[in-house]
Amino acid sequence: MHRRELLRMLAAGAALPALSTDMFAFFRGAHPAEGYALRTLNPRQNATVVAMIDQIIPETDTPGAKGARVNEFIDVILTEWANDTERKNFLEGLAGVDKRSNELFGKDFADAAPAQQLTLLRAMDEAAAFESIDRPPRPPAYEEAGRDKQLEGNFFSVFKNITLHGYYTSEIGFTQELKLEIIPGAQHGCIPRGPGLGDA
Amino acid sequence: MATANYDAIVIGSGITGGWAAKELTEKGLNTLVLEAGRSIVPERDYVEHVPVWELKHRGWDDRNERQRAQLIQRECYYACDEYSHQFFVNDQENPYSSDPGKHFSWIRGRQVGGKSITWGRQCYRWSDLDFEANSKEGIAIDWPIRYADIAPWYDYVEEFAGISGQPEGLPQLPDGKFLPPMEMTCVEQDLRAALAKNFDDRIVTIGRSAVLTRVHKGRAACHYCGVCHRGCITSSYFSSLNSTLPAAQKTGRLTMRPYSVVHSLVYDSKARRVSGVRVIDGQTKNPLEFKARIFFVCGSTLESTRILLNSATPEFPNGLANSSGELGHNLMDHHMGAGASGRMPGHEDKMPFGNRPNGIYIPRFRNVKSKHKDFVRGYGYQGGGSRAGWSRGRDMSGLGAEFKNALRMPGPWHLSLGGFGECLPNHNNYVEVDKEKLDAWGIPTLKIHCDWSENERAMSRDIGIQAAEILAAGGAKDIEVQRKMTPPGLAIHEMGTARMGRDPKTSVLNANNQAHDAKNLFMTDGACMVSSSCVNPSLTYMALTARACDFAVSAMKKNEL
Repeated sequence: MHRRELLRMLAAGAALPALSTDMFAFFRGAHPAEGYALRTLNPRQNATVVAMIDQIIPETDTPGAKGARVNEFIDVILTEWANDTERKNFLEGLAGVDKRSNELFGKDFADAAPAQQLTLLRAMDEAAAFESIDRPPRPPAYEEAGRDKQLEGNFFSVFKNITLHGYYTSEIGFTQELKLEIIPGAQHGCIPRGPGLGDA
Repeated sequence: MATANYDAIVIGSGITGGWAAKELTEKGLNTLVLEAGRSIVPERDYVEHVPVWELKHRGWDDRNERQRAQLIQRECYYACDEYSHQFFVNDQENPYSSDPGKHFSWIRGRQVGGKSITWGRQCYRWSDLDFEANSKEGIAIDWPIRYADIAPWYDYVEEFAGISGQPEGLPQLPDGKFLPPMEMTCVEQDLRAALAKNFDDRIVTIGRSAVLTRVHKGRAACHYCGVCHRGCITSSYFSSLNSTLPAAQKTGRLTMRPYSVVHSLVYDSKARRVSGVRVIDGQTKNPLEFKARIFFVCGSTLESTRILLNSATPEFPNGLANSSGELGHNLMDHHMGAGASGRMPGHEDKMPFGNRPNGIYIPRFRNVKSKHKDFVRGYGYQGGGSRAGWSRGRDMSGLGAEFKNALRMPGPWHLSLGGFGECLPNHNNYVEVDKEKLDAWGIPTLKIHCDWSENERAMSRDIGIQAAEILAAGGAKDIEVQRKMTPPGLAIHEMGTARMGRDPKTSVLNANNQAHDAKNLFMTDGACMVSSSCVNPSLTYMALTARACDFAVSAMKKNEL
């Protein structure tokens, strides 16, 4: 059900101000529109990013991070959010991925075979996990301790963090993958789990 | 200079200003509400249903802008964020100072509705354990009222506001007139059962919240989008904007004036009364003056006191209605920060549904039946238990389809508890005006001197330890204890600085929130508080406001004002 219809239904019998058709217009256009032009990532860097996010969150029965255009979110964050050090570290990290790919496979990461890409990323993932074994988990951005710190730390850990965040806060990630509703319409404390996060 | 006349002027349109506006207009008074900030148009300004993917930084916020303009406000991290930073003041326009190394977090909302848009909505009644504490312990001064004086007013405001909750029959946390309670999650139910079995002094109950669990007084039941602090187009939680101001509007006797930054009050020394309010227009910065018969100062604890401090006269060189010398003193806030969290095994086949805008509550158990050796008063816990979501993946190793499929499923259950502790009134915690430092409207700002005392520190240590014990009794694993106290102010339960009392020599306001020194002046926000209890104070402010309005209007009718 469309959320506005649901709201009308919920408010039946109660005084509800007329809902403007522009109710959701406030933030419209904020998300990178179709045809978003990259501002920080150059084509080669973007190709590396797209190949990496596609391996981390691939297409399954729902689109993956590539389908959700997480590379564009990454570009927005690098352009407007990152400070100079964070941006430099991120871009150096990307270059490092290509460098390693060339050493191992004789090709840029984006041109390597999917199995080669996976091998390289798994190695980086395990190294990052090993490195963070004594660290407390990275607090999310909505917690005070995590605010402003989402680009700090090991490159791969930062890359994975921004990929997951970009994916699960995208319309695809939120509605198709997690099957979440902005307006659940009811509250239950303890009910049998359905097949997905939002399915009760 | 423009002037206009009203029966009553209310300064501030938040929780207490909204109640004063409703009560005074419904009792027949033509009432002007002066609000420093802008108007709020729900259809335009509420953002609770804006999808996260329409935010430019997807919740990471525009950190550069926030650091520039709202460095202090964003300490209120649950609400001053990419969605709702617009409901908090600009710190550069609204400066103040605190002592080096003793930061006070002053969180403010200047708009029609004030902080009632972003408040936490928890509503608990005080008891005589609170009202009698100062007197029994010989701390500060006695409250001039007892539970019996305020109980009918709790009934009255609860009935209008709509508070959901579970009656528990505890003397230290009186039950109210509740709408049906929200449901506890699996692990919260476990904790409730475990405490019943393992402790005779503590229980878990569902939070008592000003969120409607059914249609109430023409307002729709909650639809569980879960982010009340961004607004609520169905008016399902209590805010002045959703509830009291529309009621006041309906009388036809309300004049709402946004962009009205109050500078000070005008005192008529012959009549010994307040005669008007000096206002700086928020947009044009022109000075204006408004007159009325009675004045309700409801601008939030420190803003209200600042107005009186800025209203000094030859009779009252240290601030209007300050013959006691107590104006500005005895600033309190609840201390937070200490608590614990842990993982709860089991219930893997179960989950909660809906975004419940509420948590659980463990009422005060210290110094209720027996005395604690290290501190007086007590604390309550707020918290909750739910399952981890996708964000746990950021610290999990793995990638690819298997990883993605794992994150589609909810993760382990966690329970967390955070304490809210009572703060003792202390004359040395005080505010004064700084005539050298002016805000964007040229009004002298506040210097805040405030720090926790040893009683709060000792209590905070106990909060962390007991939280861990409670979680352990509930079966939690991997328990982590938090010990760091938040700075004063950050609970946003600031209280005191114009306390009530029986004796004009030691208090600013009497038992009816009326200034001892100016009969037609009332203060009913947190400034009036004599002690701080450990429960959230807004419900008590509401009840005191309705009670003071009743007193004021009947006194006016008897020509006593």
